[in-house]
Amino acid sequence: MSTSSSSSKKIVLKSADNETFEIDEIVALESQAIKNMIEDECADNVIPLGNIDSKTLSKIIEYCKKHAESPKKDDNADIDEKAVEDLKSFDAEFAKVDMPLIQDILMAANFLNIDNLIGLMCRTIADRIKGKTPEEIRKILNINKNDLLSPEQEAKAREENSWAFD
Amino acid sequence: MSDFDDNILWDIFSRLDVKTIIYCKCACKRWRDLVLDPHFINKLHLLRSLASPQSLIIHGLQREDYPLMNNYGHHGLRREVSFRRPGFLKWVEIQQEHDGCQLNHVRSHNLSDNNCNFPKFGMITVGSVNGLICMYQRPDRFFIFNPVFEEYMTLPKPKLVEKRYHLINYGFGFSMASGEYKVIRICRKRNPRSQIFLNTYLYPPEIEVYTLGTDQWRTLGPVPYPDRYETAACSSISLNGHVHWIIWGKIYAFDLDMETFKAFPSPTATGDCNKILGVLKGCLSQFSWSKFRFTVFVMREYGISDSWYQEVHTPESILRKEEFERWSTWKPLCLINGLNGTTSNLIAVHENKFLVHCLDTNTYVQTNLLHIYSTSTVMTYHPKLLKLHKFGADRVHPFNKSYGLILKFILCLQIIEYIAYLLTLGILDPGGRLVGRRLVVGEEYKVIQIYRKRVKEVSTDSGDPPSHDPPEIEVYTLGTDHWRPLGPVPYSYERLCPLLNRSSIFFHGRVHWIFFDGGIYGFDFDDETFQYLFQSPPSRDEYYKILGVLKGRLCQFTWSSCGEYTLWVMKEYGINDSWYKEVAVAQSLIPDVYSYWVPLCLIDGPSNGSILIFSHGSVFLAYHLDTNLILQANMMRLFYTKTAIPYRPSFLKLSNFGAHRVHAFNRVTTNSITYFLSKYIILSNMSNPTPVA
Repeated sequence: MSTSSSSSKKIVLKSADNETFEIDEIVALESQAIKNMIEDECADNVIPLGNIDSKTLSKIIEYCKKHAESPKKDDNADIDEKAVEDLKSFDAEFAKVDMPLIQDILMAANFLNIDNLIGLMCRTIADRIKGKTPEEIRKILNINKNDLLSPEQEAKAREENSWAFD
Repeated sequence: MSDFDDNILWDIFSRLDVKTIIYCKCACKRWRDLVLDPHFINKLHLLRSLASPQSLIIHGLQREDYPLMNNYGHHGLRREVSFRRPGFLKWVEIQQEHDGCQLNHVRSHNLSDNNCNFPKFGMITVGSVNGLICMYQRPDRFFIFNPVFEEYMTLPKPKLVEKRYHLINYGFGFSMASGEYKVIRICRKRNPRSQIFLNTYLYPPEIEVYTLGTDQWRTLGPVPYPDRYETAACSSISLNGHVHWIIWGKIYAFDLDMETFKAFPSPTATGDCNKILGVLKGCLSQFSWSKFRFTVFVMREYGISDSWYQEVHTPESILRKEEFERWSTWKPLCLINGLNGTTSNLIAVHENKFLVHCLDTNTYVQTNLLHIYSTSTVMTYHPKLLKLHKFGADRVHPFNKSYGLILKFILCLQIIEYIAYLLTLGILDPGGRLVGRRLVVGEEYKVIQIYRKRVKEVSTDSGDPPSHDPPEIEVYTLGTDHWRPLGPVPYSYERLCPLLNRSSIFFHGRVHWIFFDGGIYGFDFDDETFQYLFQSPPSRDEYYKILGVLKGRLCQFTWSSCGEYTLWVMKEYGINDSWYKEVAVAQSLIPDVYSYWVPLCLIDGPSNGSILIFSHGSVFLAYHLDTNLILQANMMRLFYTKTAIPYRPSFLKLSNFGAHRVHAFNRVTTNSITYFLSKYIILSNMSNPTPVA
């Protein structure tokens, strides 16, 4: 793979709302799914992402850019500690968005197979529901009302670990 | 969230603490099924789930189990085997605070409780793995507990039976490779009677293994166990598919996959005779100590002898020479990771105090867990949603659950004293001895003081005892600026000699007290008069009386030192003849150990009946009067309980009564008060007065 920055290959992504994003190939490689497409040589034209809107996609590109720029752990044994810290604080800032967007990003990251981002979003969701009651969790994550436990089922589920509800 | 595939949701669950996972389980049907899916439990949940707060399982014994001893031996003697009760298991979470350590009580299970159905023999901890706690009970019973589901399972009878075999050691471990949990017993065939005094053995130790989920124990034959006279064993540490013990100062391990027992590389000797094993940052670790020093070794690469690394060595520990006398009861129990992930800590007990000792800085903090009976063992605990049913549903039993009687009290006395203190700030000293000072609840909130003038000690020449002026009364109404003296009461001081430590009862617009003359006196809130109301029912000893309100009726509980007690109810308020003996017991069933019981207050039972709260030393109990049963399970130790009063939490803001008088509790400087305020006293797991057949 060529590492010359000036003539680096570009990849074009198209969101569900028909907005196109031109990004460096190295940024696109953060996604295992796109990487596979590139390797299979079916990424020459525009890559349509029919289930990701432009708002989500631009967030994801922001994330991939930052992570593509940062030195990889397995590249060099003694990575700059500052770079690691920098990436950490970027991730923390990145996750400061509202719950619907987090879920969209997670959905898209899962589709594009970006491992680090999946982990970051799962951790963010976990942090936001930590210590919250079932009612609060349902509200925060907008859980489907048709799937609620019946009162008897919920009573049974609570009874099983009654200590947690004291 | 319904769009996400299972793996994503499991990923989220695996990053949560057990309590939140349980909440997720109740959020919707799909999540319930996903949380309980074996694929999640046995893989991601066991591997990760680091999010749960560090927990400990404390195995302790009730103090009354051994009347002659009030300290534990500090030479590591495990005396619990000699006690005849299973004791209790207490699950606490460790929480770091800026200057110390808070231990949050999660759940206690009193295994000695009649409803738990365990024989009344001592129990010993064997090990703690993946949220499962293994316990051993003489002569040959083994149990696995899971506190998260509040269930336990009984293991089959071993083959090397107590009658012919002497149990030397035991362990409990998990092998990731096979996914199996195994309990290990090491026994030696008993010598013939004629050989009993020789210090040699005819038979080599043998090992026997039980795999959870199977039907029987398997004997594996003789093992190279150190051939010395055996002492009692210690709990085992399971790590990396091996179970580890310290036996005569050296580490031995049982390989759970190969099923072999062998000597394991030990760190270089430090000359310390006391050692315990633990796991620090995922590495096998050893803590050794002597009188004035301690050392921590960490095995950086598992199984590699050279990787034993002396992490901490303190030639002068907290046990400085001048302090040694004070620390002679120090007993290290268990190693835990530092709360910030970098330091190592030791859990120890010193007399009745439960300490967390930061080994890296050689400092210790006392925790809020005081008086924990006699702690026998403490194990690190990683709560997990592992259901015991997968190892054989027919062996699994629930802990006998209470019928919902969970009483919560706040020790309100402290609050009242503090408020009373605030109110009296800046107010003239009454100059007399305080006879009664009570805060009561009515339409207006008033604090009443009854006091008398000090008597000057001068008139020695007359020979007569000095006569007292009648007590005077003073009232403060919350929201006003000053106390209002109401003048003398129409009774002599001698008559109003109070029964000490008895709280007043507010009822029917009056505060009621029993005074020593056997009369019930009241202060009326409307006309602000203090007067004799009616006679209190008779009792053998005038001193042993308390008032209370049960089902909206004024009650008096009287008792005597010979075990009889009576509950009197005033059926019609104010009518002396309506005193009625509701319960009379000639000989209470309160065990002898509670002979110095102190009744504290009366409360209504949750469904029916009346409950008396009483203390015995530092034990806090509830007593169901109608059925003559003691309702207690987790007897939370409360220092020495002086008073307990019924309390109904309210949102009443004190600032309604004058914002300038209201202060926040300062968390730092008024430790003892915040302790009481921040802690509920919870009597959970109460026994059911009508046990289910």
